[in-house]
Amino acid sequence: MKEIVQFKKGVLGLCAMMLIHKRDRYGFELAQTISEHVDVAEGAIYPVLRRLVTDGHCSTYLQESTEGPPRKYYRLTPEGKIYMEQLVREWGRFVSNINGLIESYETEVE
Amino acid sequence: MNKQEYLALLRFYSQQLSPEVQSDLLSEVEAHFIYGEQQGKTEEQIAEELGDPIEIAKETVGPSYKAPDLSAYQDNSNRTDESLNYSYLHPNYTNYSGYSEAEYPPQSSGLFKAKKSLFTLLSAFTLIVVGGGLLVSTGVAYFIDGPDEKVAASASVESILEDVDKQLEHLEDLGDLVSKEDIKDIVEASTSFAWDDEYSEFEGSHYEGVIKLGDSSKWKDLIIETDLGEVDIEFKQGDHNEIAWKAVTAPSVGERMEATQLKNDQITFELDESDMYANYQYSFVITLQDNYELRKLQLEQELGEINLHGGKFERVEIQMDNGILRASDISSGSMNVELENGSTEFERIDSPIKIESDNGEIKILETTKPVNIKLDLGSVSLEMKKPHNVDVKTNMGAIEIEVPQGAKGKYQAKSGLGEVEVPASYDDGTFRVNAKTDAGTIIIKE
Repeated sequence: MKEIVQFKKGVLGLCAMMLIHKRDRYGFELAQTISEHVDVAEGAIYPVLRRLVTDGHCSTYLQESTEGPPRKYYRLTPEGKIYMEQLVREWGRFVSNINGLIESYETEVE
Repeated sequence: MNKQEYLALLRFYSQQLSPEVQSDLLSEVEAHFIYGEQQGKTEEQIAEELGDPIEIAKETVGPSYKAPDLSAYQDNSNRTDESLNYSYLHPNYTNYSGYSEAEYPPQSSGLFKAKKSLFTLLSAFTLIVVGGGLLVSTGVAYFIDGPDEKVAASASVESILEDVDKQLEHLEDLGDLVSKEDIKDIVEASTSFAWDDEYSEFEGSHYEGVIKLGDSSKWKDLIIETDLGEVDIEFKQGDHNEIAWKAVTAPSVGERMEATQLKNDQITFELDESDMYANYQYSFVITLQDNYELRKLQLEQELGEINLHGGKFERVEIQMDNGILRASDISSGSMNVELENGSTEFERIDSPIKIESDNGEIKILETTKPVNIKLDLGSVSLEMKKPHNVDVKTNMGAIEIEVPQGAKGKYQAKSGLGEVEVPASYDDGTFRVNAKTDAGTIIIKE
């Protein structure tokens, strides 16, 4: 189902921003956490993170880690926060509209 | 797939990215492997969870993504002889941490078979005198710019015919002159040619060399002449002057390249005489000391593709019979192009530009100096960065010119057949734009 793939792709950026909003996170962590919630390939998160940075919604910094290579952390910028809040509102509206449509379809079927 | 294979494949698929972005992506994914292993996962498991590397590459590049031909990668990675490894086709992935210092920038993979069929297409289309231009433009776009050569080969008969139909609708007279059946035969013949040939052996051998020119150079001119193939030329700044080249070509040409050196004040690469249907690739990475300006860059090619990037010249002269010409980020006193069939894409050329073409699309972005275009058949699209004079004349085709915001120009547009859309013209404007077509729309906008 092509649509499902598109839905998932569309929502990845929002998921990432919400997780980063809670606290700064690095790519691997985000890939793992998001793939627990949304069934996508973990690799799909990296292009999304890159886009968040180029669009100015996130900034990055490197932090040494005692275990393994330095971690590239993502931090939400003030613009990113505003954008995320807009997205959350839009998402709510979108979901309730579509749900309305689905409900009317289901009552029709019954 | 293990980590190394995964990263090599990701690198291969993402070669369209700039080296910095690519390197960034690769280190992020490599880090992912390391963290995963710390959790006790195997490389294979992690690769599986990451998903197909082409998806990551595709998403990172965005809508302009063009999948490189995987057979080029496999052909080369199966090869045992190290000396045959070649950065065009194979990223020669040996040391991950070393790739960012790669001597050569990632190259676009060549569309070998596609160009073979283009040659056939072009020969066939010259038979159709009137329709030639329209079809060639379509053919060129499909066969060189197609998103994937396999797709292009399999989908092309149908889609080209669809396009031909569309073109013919616009030109009813032409429909009477050229039978659609004839066109269909030719298109099918040439595309099946490409298809049949898909698994044929690649015929070139690999050559490379460096011409060192020290820091006080008498070197003034660079001349490159080819008949068939893809020529990539990149100029960059460094602390000395040098030409590093690599080629996949016929032995006679390769040996001649190796013997090429400075004569008087010129370096001339004569790359003619390759076999008719071979598709050769040449890559030049030219390092110039800061502000070293060449007197002349002269390129001649019969069929194929030229990609030119960077450099500073007194003048640039390009002559091309058939193919695609792309140039970007060049500074020159003049830039003259003569093109018979094909398309031209220029970006950030800080030079007066003069193009004469028999047919093909012309697209020029971010111009800063006067532009003069004469075209028999084809459309022109131009985006000005700074106000300057523009003269465009085409016998058939649309013209679209974007002038800078708030620029006050004197605009003259005339179409024999077609709509004209021009903003307010200032008689005492600081620059003029003249656009003329016998058939086609003209749009000038801010």
